Amino acid sequence: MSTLDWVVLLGTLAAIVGYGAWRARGKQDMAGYLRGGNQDKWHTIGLSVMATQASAVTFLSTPGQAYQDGMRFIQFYFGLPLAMIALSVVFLPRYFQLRVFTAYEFLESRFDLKTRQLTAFLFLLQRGLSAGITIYAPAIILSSVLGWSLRLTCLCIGGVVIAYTVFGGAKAVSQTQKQQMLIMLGGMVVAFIVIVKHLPPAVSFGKALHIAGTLGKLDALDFSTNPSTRYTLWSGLLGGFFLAMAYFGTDQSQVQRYLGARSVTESRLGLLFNGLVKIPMQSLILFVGVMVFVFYQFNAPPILFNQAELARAKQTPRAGKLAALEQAHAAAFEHKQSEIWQLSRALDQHDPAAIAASEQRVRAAEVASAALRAETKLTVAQALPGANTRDADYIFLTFVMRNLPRGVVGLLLVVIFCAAMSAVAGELSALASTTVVDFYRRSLRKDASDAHYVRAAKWFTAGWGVLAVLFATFASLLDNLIQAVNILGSLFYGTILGIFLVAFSRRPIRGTAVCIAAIAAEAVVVGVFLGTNVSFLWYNVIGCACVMLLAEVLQATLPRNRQRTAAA
Amino acid sequence: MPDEAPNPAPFLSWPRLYLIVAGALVLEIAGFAVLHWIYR
Repeated sequence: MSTLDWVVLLGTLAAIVGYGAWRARGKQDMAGYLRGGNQDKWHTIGLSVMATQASAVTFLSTPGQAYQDGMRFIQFYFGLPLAMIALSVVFLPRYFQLRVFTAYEFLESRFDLKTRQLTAFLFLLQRGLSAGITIYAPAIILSSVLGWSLRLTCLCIGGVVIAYTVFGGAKAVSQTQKQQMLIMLGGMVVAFIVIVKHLPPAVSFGKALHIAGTLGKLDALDFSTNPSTRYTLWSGLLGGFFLAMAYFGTDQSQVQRYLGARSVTESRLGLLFNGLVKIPMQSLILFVGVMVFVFYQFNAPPILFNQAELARAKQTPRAGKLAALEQAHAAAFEHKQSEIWQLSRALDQHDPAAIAASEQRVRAAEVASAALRAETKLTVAQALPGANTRDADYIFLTFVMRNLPRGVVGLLLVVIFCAAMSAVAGELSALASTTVVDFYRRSLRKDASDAHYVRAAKWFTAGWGVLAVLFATFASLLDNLIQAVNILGSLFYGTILGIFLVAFSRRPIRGTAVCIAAIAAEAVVVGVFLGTNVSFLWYNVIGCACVMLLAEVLQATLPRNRQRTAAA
Repeated sequence: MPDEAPNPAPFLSWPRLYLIVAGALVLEIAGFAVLHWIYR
């Protein structure tokens, strides 16, 4: 990294953190610390909601995903705009009416304490673990590609976030997230322009799209009704709708963002802004990946983007086979490149027959090249059992470091750091507010002063932050746990959403019925997870539907006195 | 915390805003279908 890149990286991060701290200065009460004093306008809400969702992995992995699988991941977001409308109509007015600090507070006023604390506990469990992953996931990629120390990278990301989140609370989080999100969007636009400019002069943007389309990278829509296909139009619309409802409507890390709005109106406008901008933003990130793919049709790509693992594998007896594979891959690249140039000439001549014939040859060359990459991954996995051969996460950063000019590299690293910090800050602030409001103030210290709860919230923010950094630092020892954490969110979201939807829509249903229904629904979701290969997006629909149906049945069948006791 | 502040864009009622967001989604999906159809 050049000095200019360091200046851009450190200067921008320092400016953002300083700005956040300056905006959050002054005496803080609980409403100020946990809800930002209800000063935020719709653009702050919209950008901070987007920044909370966009983690570093969004910017590191999504382009790589487009490089390998094309644009189809975009379907994951199709349900989001509809969920923003539903939340604006159903959830927001209720939260603002009760002036809650956390989403779970609402559940006590509607059901009972046990439902509130059960749901809050589920949130703390999955969000507490995933905060560590939010730090660890980018740190492992940054340390591998840039040669930085993994622990130091975790400490740097975590330390800075803990400092400004503890100091400024929800207000510092929203204000920094707003700046961070603007930088992330600007950074990706710059990346897109620079990548397109790096294509050979004879390759126009239209031609680049044609090459990408020929190789299947622009197939965004999948109409398959197979439930085990992960991203389809239907799973995106329906499963994505329920997931977005659950995430934005019941996950405190998101709810806290829009509870900081001046009014319901600002809050609604912020969510609708998110609904309008999210798909174009994700499309841009995926398009960056597609353009990186086109770039590597004219410039030799490494056979495996995780160069550190490849280098380790070359120290084993499989080195000879890997060298042969690299040679074959280089030859396959030369062949494919000549076929692509032929396609380019056919496109210039507007000759449909030549274009069709050329397209077929390009596709065949790509299949041969992909087979060599697959064989290399297999060989590395045999050489180093347990090695990470899934290199999609490394594609974008490798491209950036090797090909982009000085200054732009620093800017894109800022994007990645901003994304990591904004996501972690939102999580820490939400974890602290849930711990204080739903457990500490509700069950442990009921009548302390406002200042006491602010101090407690600061300590809990720091505590959750230290736990997240520790988890991130030692995460490499816990690979299976990381997978479990990723699945955990999808396992619980449907059930939690079901509890909230019953609360909003079925007045006669009481706490005991909904609690038993939630536990039973959770068992069904876990059963589906363990016993079938249904795509995880459907878990949200299944969990939610089970809670709503079972609560209805239980309310009708449970003895009346048990329900009254629970209600009291 | 005021329960409801005036809509900063009063010419747009809430139903119209919801329709714009849903309409944008339909256009985006149609856009991806067209992109796929042109560059298949």
